[in-house]
Amino acid sequence: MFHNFRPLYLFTLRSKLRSKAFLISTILTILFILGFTNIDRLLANFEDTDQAQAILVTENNELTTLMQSLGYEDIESAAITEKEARTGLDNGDYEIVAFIENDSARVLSERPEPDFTTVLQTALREIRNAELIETSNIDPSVLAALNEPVTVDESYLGRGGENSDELFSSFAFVYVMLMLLYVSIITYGSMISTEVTTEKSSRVMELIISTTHPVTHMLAKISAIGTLALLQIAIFLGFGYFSARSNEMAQSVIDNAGNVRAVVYLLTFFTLGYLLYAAMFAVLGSLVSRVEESQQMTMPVIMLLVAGFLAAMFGLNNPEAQIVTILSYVPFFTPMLMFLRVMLVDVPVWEVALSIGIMIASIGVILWVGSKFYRGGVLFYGNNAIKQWRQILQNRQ
Amino acid sequence: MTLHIDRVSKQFGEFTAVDDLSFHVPKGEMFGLLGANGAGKTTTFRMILDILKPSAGTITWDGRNVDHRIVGYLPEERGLYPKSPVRDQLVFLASLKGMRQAEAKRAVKSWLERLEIPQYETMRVEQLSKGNQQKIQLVAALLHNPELLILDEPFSGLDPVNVEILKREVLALRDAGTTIVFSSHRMEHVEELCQHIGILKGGRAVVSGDVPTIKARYAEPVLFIETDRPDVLQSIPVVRAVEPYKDGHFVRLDSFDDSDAVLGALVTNGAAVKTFMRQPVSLNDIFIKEVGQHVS
Repeated sequence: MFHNFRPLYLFTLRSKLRSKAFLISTILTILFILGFTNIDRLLANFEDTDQAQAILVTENNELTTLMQSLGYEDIESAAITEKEARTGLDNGDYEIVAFIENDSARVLSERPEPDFTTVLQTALREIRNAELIETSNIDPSVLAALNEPVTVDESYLGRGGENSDELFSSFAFVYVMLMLLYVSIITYGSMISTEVTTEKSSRVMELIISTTHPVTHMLAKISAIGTLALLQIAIFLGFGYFSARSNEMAQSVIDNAGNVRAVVYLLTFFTLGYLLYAAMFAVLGSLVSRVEESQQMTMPVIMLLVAGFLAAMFGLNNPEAQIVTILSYVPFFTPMLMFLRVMLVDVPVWEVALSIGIMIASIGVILWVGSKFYRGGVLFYGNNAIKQWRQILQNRQ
Repeated sequence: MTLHIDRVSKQFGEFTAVDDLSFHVPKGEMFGLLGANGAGKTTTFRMILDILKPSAGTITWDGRNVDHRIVGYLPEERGLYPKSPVRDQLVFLASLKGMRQAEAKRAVKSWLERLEIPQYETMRVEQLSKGNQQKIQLVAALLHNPELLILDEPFSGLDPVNVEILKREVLALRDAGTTIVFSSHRMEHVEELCQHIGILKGGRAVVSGDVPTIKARYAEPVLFIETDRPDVLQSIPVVRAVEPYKDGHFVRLDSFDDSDAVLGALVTNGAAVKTFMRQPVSLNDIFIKEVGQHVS
């Protein structure tokens, strides 16, 4: 039954690896990853760091110095009238004029200047506080004690981590991995259905199914694309790992990657999830005649995947919710939800084993049902899917 | 080593595509399956290849189920991977038939040379013309030296030069002992190549047997005559009907025994006779008679 697995697998993998699409998508994704993991630095480059030139109209020279010491450098003090100030602003001689009257200020500017106003507020408050302390004879040490922060040290007993840093890093890790699971199942799953439909529309299929059992053909396709997926993901993760090492937030995500338990679960659910969805994509791909139609046909599967992803996003914040527990046994949602649960809460081993068992059984059922449709489906070049299914089932006993 | 199709039927739901069809093709013979579009030819081929299961009846090769490895198949709808280089996919398709890589590569080279297209070995299929793609498709069917070769409309889409090349190779294969079943709309090709034929209509074999016997059965006493005095023809007593065709006339008799009387009458009337021949019955006539007249 499996004698043609090898040539089919190798041929599919080789043509995929040599295709331009593979090269381009790999390069683009690497660029995206490099960009994403360094987003803070990239954004910093585009930030407008120039301070707007400001004029202070005040008798208190201390204020100017204070503001400069607080980080706002571009300040001059001058004695001008409001009329002069407006002309100067119109001409663009300066961008901000602030009229200071004791501890209140009136700021004129073309547009909001939050940097300036924040510094100005702080400076004014400090000057006022200093005056108040002096006039009220308050002991400066009392004041210091009042400003002393209190500490609340949290410890969590759940799976996610012992303190908020660890919890955040678990969340971030699970989140990134859920995204990866979702995106790669959609990408590679659609690749399978497209692949099957292409073979069908180019009519090569007739030659293949005259020599090969449909389950062998499906498994060869799924494995070849799966290998491609693993290869590509390994490249991405490699780049992501090195690129993220220098980034603090991303760093916390990688910390988890070193966790053997996390990696084992990730690979298990990844593989099972991929197999389940890939089998569905392959069967649906065999039912349509043109690549454009395969998009429509695979819509329900993509909806399932989206539903699973949304449930996972909900579960990320409520990992112990009953609905999350229940859904984690539904094979279509298991890869994301059970993974999320084992990462964030304590799940008994038997529960994990049960969900994996259900998934394996479902994959078997889908392959079995799929093989019924597959041979009939690949020979059928019609439009009406439902009618087609009926006929296929009648033709093949 | 005979292909036996024994009382085979195939139903698709309510629709009967092939109905109680039987024929057999001995080793080294070429069998022509004729039929209008939708007559059940491709369905029959697919059943031989075990792509479809017959609803009833058996198909055997040498008394056993047909093993796909001994069969070469040229499907009616040509199918190759458009983006893949010629050699790669031919080697791949041969490996599905259990052929080894190195062996397949050698076979690809020699077949491309035999079909006079060695320069396409490393090109992608989508870069080739339709006729050349078809030759590649044929190579895919032949590469593993099949004992049984099934060719569904092998000549469609080929120019006359390539039709000749293809005919030459198909005949060479037959002489080398390959059993060949093929379908075609082109009656002259079938007539030229096949010893045995079957004409399908609505899934049933309306005519089947070897070509001379069938022709003898359908032969009608019709003469084709070109003369400068066609008016004489009508007045000859043994003539049953006269029908003008091109520069001459078809003349229907009760039997060719009356031919001498016709020629005698023409000569007596001083007519110059340019052509005087028995009109041979062609497969085309038989086909149209059997398939065409029942079309409603």
